[in-house]
Amino acid sequence: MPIEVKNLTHTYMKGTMSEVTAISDISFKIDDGEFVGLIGATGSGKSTLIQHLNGLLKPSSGTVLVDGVDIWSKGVSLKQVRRKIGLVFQYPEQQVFEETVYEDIAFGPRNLGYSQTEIEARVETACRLVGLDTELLSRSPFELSGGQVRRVAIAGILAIQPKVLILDEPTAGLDPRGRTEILDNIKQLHETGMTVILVSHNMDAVARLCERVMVLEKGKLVFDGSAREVFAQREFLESKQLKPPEVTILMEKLRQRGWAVRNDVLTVEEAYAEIIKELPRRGVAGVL
Amino acid sequence: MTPVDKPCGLEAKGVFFRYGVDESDKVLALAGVDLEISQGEFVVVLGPNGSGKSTLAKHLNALLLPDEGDVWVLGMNTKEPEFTWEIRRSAGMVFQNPDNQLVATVVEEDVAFGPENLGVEPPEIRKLVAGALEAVGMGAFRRHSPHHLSGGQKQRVAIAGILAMKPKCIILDEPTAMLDPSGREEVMKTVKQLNEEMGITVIHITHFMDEALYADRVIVMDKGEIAIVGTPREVFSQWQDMAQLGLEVPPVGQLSRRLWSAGIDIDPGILTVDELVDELCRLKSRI
Amino acid sequence: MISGGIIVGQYYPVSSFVHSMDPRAKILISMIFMIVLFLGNNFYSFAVTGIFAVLAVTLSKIPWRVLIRGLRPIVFIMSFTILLHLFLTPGEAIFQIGPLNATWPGLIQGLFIGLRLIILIIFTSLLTLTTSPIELTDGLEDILKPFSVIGVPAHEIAMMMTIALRFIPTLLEEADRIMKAQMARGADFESGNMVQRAKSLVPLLVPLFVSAFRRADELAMAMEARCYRGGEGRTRMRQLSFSAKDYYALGFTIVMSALVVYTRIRFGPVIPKGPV
Repeated sequence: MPIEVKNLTHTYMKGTMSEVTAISDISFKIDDGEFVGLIGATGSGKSTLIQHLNGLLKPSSGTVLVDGVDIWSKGVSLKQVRRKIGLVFQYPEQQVFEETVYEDIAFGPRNLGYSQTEIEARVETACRLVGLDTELLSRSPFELSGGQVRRVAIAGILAIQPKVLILDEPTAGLDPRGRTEILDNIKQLHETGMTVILVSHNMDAVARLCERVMVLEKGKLVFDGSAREVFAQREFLESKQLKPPEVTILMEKLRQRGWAVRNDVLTVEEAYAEIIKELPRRGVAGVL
Repeated sequence: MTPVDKPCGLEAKGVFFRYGVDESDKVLALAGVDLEISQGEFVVVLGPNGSGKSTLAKHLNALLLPDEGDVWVLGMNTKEPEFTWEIRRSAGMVFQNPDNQLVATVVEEDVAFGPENLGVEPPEIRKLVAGALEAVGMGAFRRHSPHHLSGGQKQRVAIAGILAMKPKCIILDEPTAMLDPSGREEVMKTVKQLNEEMGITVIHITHFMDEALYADRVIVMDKGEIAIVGTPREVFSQWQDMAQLGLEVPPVGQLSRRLWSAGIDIDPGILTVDELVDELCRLKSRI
Repeated sequence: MISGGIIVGQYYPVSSFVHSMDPRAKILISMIFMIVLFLGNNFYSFAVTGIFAVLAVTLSKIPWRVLIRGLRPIVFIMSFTILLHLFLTPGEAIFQIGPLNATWPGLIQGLFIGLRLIILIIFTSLLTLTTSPIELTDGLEDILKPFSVIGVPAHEIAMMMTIALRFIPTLLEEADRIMKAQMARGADFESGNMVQRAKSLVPLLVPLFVSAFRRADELAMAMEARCYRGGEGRTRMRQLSFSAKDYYALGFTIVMSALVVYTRIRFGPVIPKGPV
């Protein structure tokens, strides 16, 4: 289910005085099974871009191809596109409306016209994928904790069984434990073969999870490449009002002080391995 | 009745609080909290969801009253109704959702809301509003509509709204939870500045561990009790207890600890990049 | 963008004579004008009110196209009213469609009503176009204040208006987002018959209400934390003051009203009998 975007431009309120070009001339291709991080300052056009990928917004110009088919050409059902490409909005718990958790997760598959047994199976699978206790299914979503409702909402998208999952800031507003759990879930989903696009301000998470990173600035795609490559470029990121993970900054500062360490380190583990090579151990080299 | 002079700005003693209407399904939110905060201190409160952080914050502003125990704000007991408004004026509160605490359609009108409620004379309100907006660096936006501001800017307006009441203390209940990194930094720097330059006591509740580094003292709450108290370094050095609460040490702290436990002669409590770089370079030069 | 087409309460920020007037004067003049407009019962009185409205628009520097755009939503209801009068007023017939008789008095009556409606809409939208929402609420609160002795909650009404104005854009944006989030789950808001469409709004309305209640709750708490305790003992940063131009405008309005009353007495109704 590759997604290909060609020369995509979107202008809000076109033809009025308050015309704003949110994204301009963006092209890229995402293949099956990729894990892509989409980063950029607030207002750089991330939300506008992802809403094009499942046909919620219509391009002002340019095309969006899903499986090689232009989703805005005649005869293409947008409902079918949205079945294949799941989009989890920021604060998705705000979309929850049914009386029970089960009913809410079943909303998607029901809209797509699946049979009762199929819906049940899908709700159950979705719950398992986000680590939601099936005992909660008969409860009202409005009495669950913040982290739990967030997972109900994500399960609501997974029940559609999309091939591609797009998440907009999935950890916003959660406590540290909630954040870790959601990120672990997303990682597992990717491991089952799903294509994942993660929009996030949490650079540590993007560095840890994503292989490929796209950087947006003022509606333009200014970088598209490996996570390692982009996070090693601190000045470039800072000019886009972004910041590499702290451990990456640490490595850069050590290099400035003459250390022979790599600068494209992304995790605590990697940083540790680099530093330890350069240092004598207490009581070993020190004594000798 | 005049407020009793007390050495500390805020004090809580044996505070219990339960949510819920029916006796049967009441939830214990605070289970015996004792706390003293001096005037001018910067305190960060950490803890998982449901640990009682927000409940405690609302006690310090007399929005909630303890079921048992007492809370004093600048020597005024929150249980005394005649102190309520003076307590709310001197211990202002900023909330999580920037949208849901701005009342007016123009920035300066919103900042004026507090002083207007206190019945301050109009020319004096103008001065207070201008001063408060200047202090948070939002003077240029005074005629703007809050709807068009960024999250960080909205929170700074909310802080200005509190400042215009000339408070001694600001309580911030997860003000950064809904902001992007640059918005978070804006808010934290503003708050730190108010603390340092105006001597305002700050009680900042957050889920972001790195914000704890701004604090003189960190309080970790769990199940309605204060579990750990200390400087950021002291608190994060108890990483096993922290991990049990789902609170992760910031990455640099994790790295310091890993290096230390691998036998490197380094302080395992280091939490910031610059400190760790200095420490590592000092070690290396000794070889 | 849902908020694209909404004109209600839209402020048009230019500086003009009308913009700089005291909001209380503007509200009073609008009220007097509305009464006078309905007192006028012949085309001479329309000439007076019409010239007054044109003069006000000119002084406000609001472009005519903005005002005409504001008339668009009422085109349907206006044509309907005119047609109703055209066919249902008894009198000399112009033409006939089936059992319906179009009459001369009906035509005149219809035009009469239509004209009155157009002047009314133009003049009242002038009030909101030249007065920022905050001035409007300030003015309204001040005008209503004397009535609080007989139980009119002047401060509460003004506070409600302020909060509504503050949250309308926020809630519109939220509605847009929730709608898209449900569409991402395969919801369909656009097809089906009336019943199906009404039903399809449930996934939009329930979250919107839940959110609005949560916001109201949080806002109430934030207001309380900022020492809000109703209108009593409250001061305002902005002080309203009447200036010379407000007195001139009011004086002119009274002269205009007198003229309309004169035309009413002098010329009588345009059609002796029939509903208005």
